[in-house]
Amino acid sequence: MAVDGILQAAAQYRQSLGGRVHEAIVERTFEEAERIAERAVVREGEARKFALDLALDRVLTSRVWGLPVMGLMLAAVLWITVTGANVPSAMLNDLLIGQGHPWLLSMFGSMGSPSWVTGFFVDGVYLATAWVISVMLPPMAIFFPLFTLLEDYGYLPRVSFNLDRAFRWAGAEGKQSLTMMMGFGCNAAGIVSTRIISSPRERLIAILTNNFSICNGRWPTLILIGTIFVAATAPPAFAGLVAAGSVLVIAVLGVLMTLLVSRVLSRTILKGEPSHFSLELPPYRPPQIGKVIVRSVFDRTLIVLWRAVVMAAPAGALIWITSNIIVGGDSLAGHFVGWLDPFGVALGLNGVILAAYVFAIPANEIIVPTILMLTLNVARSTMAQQGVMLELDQTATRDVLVNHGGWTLLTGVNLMLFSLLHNPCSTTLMTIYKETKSWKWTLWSALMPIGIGFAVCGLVALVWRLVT
Amino acid sequence: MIATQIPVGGKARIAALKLVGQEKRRLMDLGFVPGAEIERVLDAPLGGTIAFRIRGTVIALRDNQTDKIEVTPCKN
Amino acid sequence: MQELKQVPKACDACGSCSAGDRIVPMRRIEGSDYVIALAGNPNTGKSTVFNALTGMRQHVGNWAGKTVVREEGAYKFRDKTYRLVDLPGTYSLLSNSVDEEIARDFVLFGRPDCTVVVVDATALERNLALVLQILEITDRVVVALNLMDEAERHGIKIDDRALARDLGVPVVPMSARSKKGLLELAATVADVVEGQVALRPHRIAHLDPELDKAVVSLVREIEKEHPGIQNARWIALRLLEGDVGVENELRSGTLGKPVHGTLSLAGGQ
Repeated sequence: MAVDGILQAAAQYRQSLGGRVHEAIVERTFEEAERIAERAVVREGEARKFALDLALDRVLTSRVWGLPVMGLMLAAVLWITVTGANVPSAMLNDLLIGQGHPWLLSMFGSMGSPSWVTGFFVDGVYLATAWVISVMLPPMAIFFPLFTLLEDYGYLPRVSFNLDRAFRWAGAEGKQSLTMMMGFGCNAAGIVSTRIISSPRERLIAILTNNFSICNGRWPTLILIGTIFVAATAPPAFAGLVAAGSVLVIAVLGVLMTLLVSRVLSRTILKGEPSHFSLELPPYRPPQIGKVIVRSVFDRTLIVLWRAVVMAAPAGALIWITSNIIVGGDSLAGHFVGWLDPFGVALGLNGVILAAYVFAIPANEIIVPTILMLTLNVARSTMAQQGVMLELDQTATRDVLVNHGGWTLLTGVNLMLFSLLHNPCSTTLMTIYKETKSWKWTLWSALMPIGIGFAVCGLVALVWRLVT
Repeated sequence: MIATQIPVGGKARIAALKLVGQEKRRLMDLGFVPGAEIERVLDAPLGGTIAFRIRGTVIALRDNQTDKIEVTPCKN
Repeated sequence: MQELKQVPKACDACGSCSAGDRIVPMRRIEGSDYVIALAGNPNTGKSTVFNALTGMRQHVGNWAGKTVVREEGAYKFRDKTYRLVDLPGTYSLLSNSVDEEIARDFVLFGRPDCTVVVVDATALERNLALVLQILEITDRVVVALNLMDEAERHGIKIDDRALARDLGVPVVPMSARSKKGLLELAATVADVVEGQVALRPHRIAHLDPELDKAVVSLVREIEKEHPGIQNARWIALRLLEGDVGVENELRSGTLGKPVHGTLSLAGGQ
């Protein structure tokens, strides 16, 4: 065939040219590029430009300061997100639940709707959606612009640079550090960002471990539990610091898990050749702050609203239904909780928590209200109407959990661990399927973290009980 | 000497790339070509990865690549 | 409808824009008159240019490798519709990584009516390597000299006319972030696709007579096998380099097949 003839001829020429054709061409290209660039650049400001960037980089990647600065950045972003979100969250909560809920109730009532219909729509669907919006929208609206600003400025590749050794140890591609960071905002977004990893094998590792980045939906849970359980053991003056510290510990634990699990994966089921690593550290570019913030907030708002409606609403409906259908003396939810309880306690948790996690598969944000509601339900308290998700202040929440739910410090700690180590939310799972087109890997990404979660919680519970 | 022996902040000129195939092409495309000047600008805090300035761009490489770049030091 | 009113700085004596020129980003791509490829090194603000022209809101981040799939958008200018294809940022078109292949295949075989190469004015030398490679493939190139605001900030001044003279194709200074130079870019692209600009693309002389001989002979063979093929010289050079991708395409017969349809990156869209 003529094609083979061409290829053969080419091979022969290659031989006689000494096999350096590619090198010669590339060298010539760069020579020309140099020549032309030199003629075109009239005034060089190179030195000044490099000096500033370099000075900054020397600090941000230094042996002494590099990692601490990173930790501080993470803490700063965390702190700004949390404190910044407090007020808007409370306001949204007040508006949507404090005022919106009763208003809807009365509206439904005035339309003469049967109580189960009102209950289903207002107490089930609406409340779940409202909770997700008020809990999730403010932190996301703050975190993502912050993240984007750091991104646009050019800091993130420096983080990759700093952590590269660790990721190399983990058998992973350097860019995984970036996808991991993205996951701190939203795991689904983190999954999509793995597209920057070209090797399919390494991309899969990044996808499977992304859930160890604590997404915005889990911050509130961690902060609440950290505050009312962990910080409660510390003197009040340090309570705030201890609470923040405990959350930071979990976050760092997440990073360590990412590295550890990546390493295990890259040595067992996802073995292969590491790809060639090269990372450009672009010059720092002050971003157009206003533009970034506005655009980011808009984009995020839309995503959260969509998610609230599509994911949380059905979850709310389900919770309401199972809490209000009475079979054999107890609600379906009550039965479910009771059935899970032995396993839960063995893990240092309880049946309510496990049940709540099942209900919260669509959206991590509704964990706390679901736990509260189920706790009160199971304890047959009159504090809450059946199936209504609640808003309680911290002391009241603690009371409910400890007195009605039998929570201890162990429960609090293990809940924080489990919050890190459980299956991804359904949005993330769907995204994983879309990106991998594989049921097998989607299943893995769901079961692996939760398996690890069970193991870790069980171990902690065991050791704790032995020690105390 | 090899690139990892360039002192931090020091410059050198690439003499040869002791790599083959894809890896070599990749580096060449980034500008790591014999005759090009590179400057060692940053070392990663945990070690193992080095950032070089080449043709005005800062690019980080792992030492399994940088120890295969042969250079001759620049007098400056 | 987006109105971009700034008049770019280097525009004064040009006269190629008529008063009232406007770029109209289009939400949906319905038929197009021209297809424009958007290429460039990673990190040159390519996505910003893309967003500014098409009104789309692709995320832009300051780290190399953000754009991984081929994004498409469109805009209307002087009553013609332009389909803009944002290729992944690549350092060269010669390696065999997936994004470079995507970019290369499109420029090579997608037969865009014009290829805009976005260049970082603060790193001209490096960026020119890609420009020169693209000039080996196609004549219809416009160099978008982006990040001029950054260059100014660092005291770098570039003689874009000298650059255009040396490269043999139009050079448009711009700052996509500040929406400067976009009109002139659209106008220059319009002029190029309508054949109103004399193009004398710089071709690299390889200074090796043996290589030239080999190229000429291979080109003859290739043109015999694939009559009417464009870029036979480029293909010949790649074969002499031992480029596996091109070899495979030659074997499987997919070389030279125009690819105007949507190309999606395997594994995700």
